[in-house]
Formats: sequence, structure tokens, C-alpha cells
Amino acid sequence: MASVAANTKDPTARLNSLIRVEISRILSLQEINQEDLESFAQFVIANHKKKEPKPAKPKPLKAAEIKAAVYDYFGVGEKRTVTALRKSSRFQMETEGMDLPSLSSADGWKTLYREFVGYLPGEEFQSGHGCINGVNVFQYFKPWRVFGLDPATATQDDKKTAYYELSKRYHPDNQETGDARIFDLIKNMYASISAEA
Amino acid sequence: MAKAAYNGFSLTEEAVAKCLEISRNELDEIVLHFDSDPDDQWSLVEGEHFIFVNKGLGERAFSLRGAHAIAEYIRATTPSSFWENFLEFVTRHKTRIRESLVAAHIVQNSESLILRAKWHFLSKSDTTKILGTSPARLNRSFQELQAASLMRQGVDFLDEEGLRFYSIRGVSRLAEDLGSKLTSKERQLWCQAVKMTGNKTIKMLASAEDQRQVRIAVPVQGV
Repeated sequence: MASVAANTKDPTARLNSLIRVEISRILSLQEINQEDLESFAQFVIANHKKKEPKPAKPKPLKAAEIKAAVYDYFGVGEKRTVTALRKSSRFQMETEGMDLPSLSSADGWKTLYREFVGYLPGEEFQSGHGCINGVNVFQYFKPWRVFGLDPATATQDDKKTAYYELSKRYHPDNQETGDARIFDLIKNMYASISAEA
Repeated sequence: MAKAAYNGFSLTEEAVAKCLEISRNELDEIVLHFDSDPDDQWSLVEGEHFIFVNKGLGERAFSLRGAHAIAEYIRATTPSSFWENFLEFVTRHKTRIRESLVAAHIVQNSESLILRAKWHFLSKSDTTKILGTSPARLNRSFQELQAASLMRQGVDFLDEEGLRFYSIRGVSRLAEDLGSKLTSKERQLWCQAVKMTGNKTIKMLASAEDQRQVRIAVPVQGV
């Protein structure tokens, strides 16, 4: 009975994710009968010792893959050189006024990828300084995710409320969590998503 | 006809035929056949692509968009030989003609060009005219781009004194969106052409404007 007593202290401590998912499934059923419970017991017997599957670590893109994606985005055809990229009409239009990163380094290509193509593998859910709702605001312009809003349903009031909450946290006057750079980015994001057409 | 009605329809049939390197008869035939199939994606719209100078005689004056639409129609419907294709690949002669029509249209509608920080912006009204669309359709495109996090304030658009302005990047993104979604083939091709030609043309205009500002500023500094 000692082990049962140990389990009662922290009932979820020894349950793996398979069993937890199965519990959620059973709880979602309209009615639970004896057959369901027996089948759950069988499931526990079969799966309780299984190890947690390791979360798949996203494979980083190779430099060539990052470059290829950038060339594709700007419609650079067969002759894939930096000169051809710089000459491409779309590149010139989209980067007008932008401080272009050096394209002799991998970091420069990553900057272009983040700006124009999308999330680099492994960067979609980040944490740490400058990360809000998994988005590194210094690297990505993803206002809807940062504000935790759905663009299809968010009202102007929703945007205002979300902005107010983030402003309270990041306003430079906040001695504990304030950050002027993050606050400016949030302000710009709010202006971008709240602008009327 | 009031003079205002001619605004933007500066090309005579003679001029369009000459520009597109076809005869007057060929132009007449093309215009006649342009709308022959109501189910296809090609159409010449009166008031948008042309106006009648003399309806009785069927004499028209074309806008730059009208001339561009005819050029695109010729490109899409006239079979060309391997040699002609090769020549075009090397010289880009016909492409340049089409681009020059788009560039001229952009120049005609860029009076509002302003520089803010490092970006050049055009008014919403000019952007609408350049893209050959309606304000309502442009609004929809803006909202779709906004929902996709592709419209950044200060970079893609700007609101100043109650007016909306779009940067070159903003115009490019709107052109990209409209170029893939508009139902009319001609409008799609027009937006794609603006995307291709816009940067060079707007920068050329911006450079001319910057030089003009410098010329204005010099005597002021001397005072």
C-alpha cells in the first residue's frame, strides 16, 4: 500500500502523457459506463510503463536552404547570386528604406528570412528577453500573436485591451519589467493592427 | 465633350498603333475581337481603358492602361516564332514598351510623393489610381494584408493629417495581393506590372523630387 500512498500525494506524478490524454478523452464522453472503465484499465496496464516520447527537436535549416527560400521569395530565377537578388525588382521594392544586413554572413540571410519568409525552425516558440507569447519581438513582426488575438474576430476594443495589458508591463516607467525598445515595438504593432483601411 | 473627360485618355488610336508597332487596321481588329468572348477574362472598359472621341465614327482615345491591356492581349493571343521569342528574350523590346506604359501611368499619378524617415510614400488616392482599382477593393486588400501581419505602420503605410499614405513596399504588397486575387486578367497583369516597374519609376521620381528640394533649399540657405 506504500506505493499507493505515494501516488495519492501527487496523483499525476507518475502518469505519462498517453494516460493523461486518455483521461481527457474519457472525461469528454457524454456517459461513462463499466465497459469504458475496463477499457481504460486495460489501456493503463498496457501503457503506464511507456517512456515519454521526446519532443522532436526542429532541424535547423542549412545556409543554402535559407538562401534558396529568400531567392524564391523574391522571385530570383536561375542566376541565384547576391547581385541578381539586389537587382530583382521585388527585392528593391520590399527593402526600400530598410537597413539591409550584410549578405556575406549567415546572420544577414537569417534576418531576411525572418523578415520576409517566416519563422526559422526552432524560433516559432521562443522564451526569454523580448519574447511575448513565444514571439521574439526583436526578430519577428507578428502583432496578432504577440497580442494574443485572432485577426478574424478581434474587435478594436480587444486590441486596445491587449495593448493596455502589454503596455503596463513594458512601459519604461515600470521599474521592474519596463523596456523602452519592447514598448516601442508594441506601440508600433498596435498602430499597425488597429489602423482602419 | 468636357475637357475633364479627356483626362488620362491621351493616346489616339494612331499613337497606340505606333507604340505597339501594329497597323491601324490591326488595332481595329484587336479592339473588335477584344470583347468578342464575354466569358473570357479580357475586356476593354469604356471610361477606364478608352473613351469615344467620336462615337459615330467609332473613334477612340486610349488611356495608358488601355494601351497596356491591348499589349498584354496581343502577347497572350498572338503566337510567336522561336526566333521572335529569342529576339524578345535578348532585347526585351516588347517588354520595355509595356513597362514604359506602366511607368508613364505611375508618373502621372505620383504627385503626392513624400519622404518620411527613409521611406517614400504615396497617397492612398494615388495608390488606388496607380493600381487601377477602387478604394473599396484597396481597403479590402489592406485589411487582408493587415490580418496577415504584412502591413507595418511607418514602413508599409502612414497616416498623416488624416490621410493614408503607402510606401513603395506597401504599394508592392498591395500590388502583389491584387495581382493574384483580382478576377480580371487585365487587372491582374496590370498590378503585376506595377510591382515590376513601380520601384524604378517611383525612385526616379523621388530622386527628381529630392533634387528639386535641394534647388529650393539652396537660395534659402544663402539668405
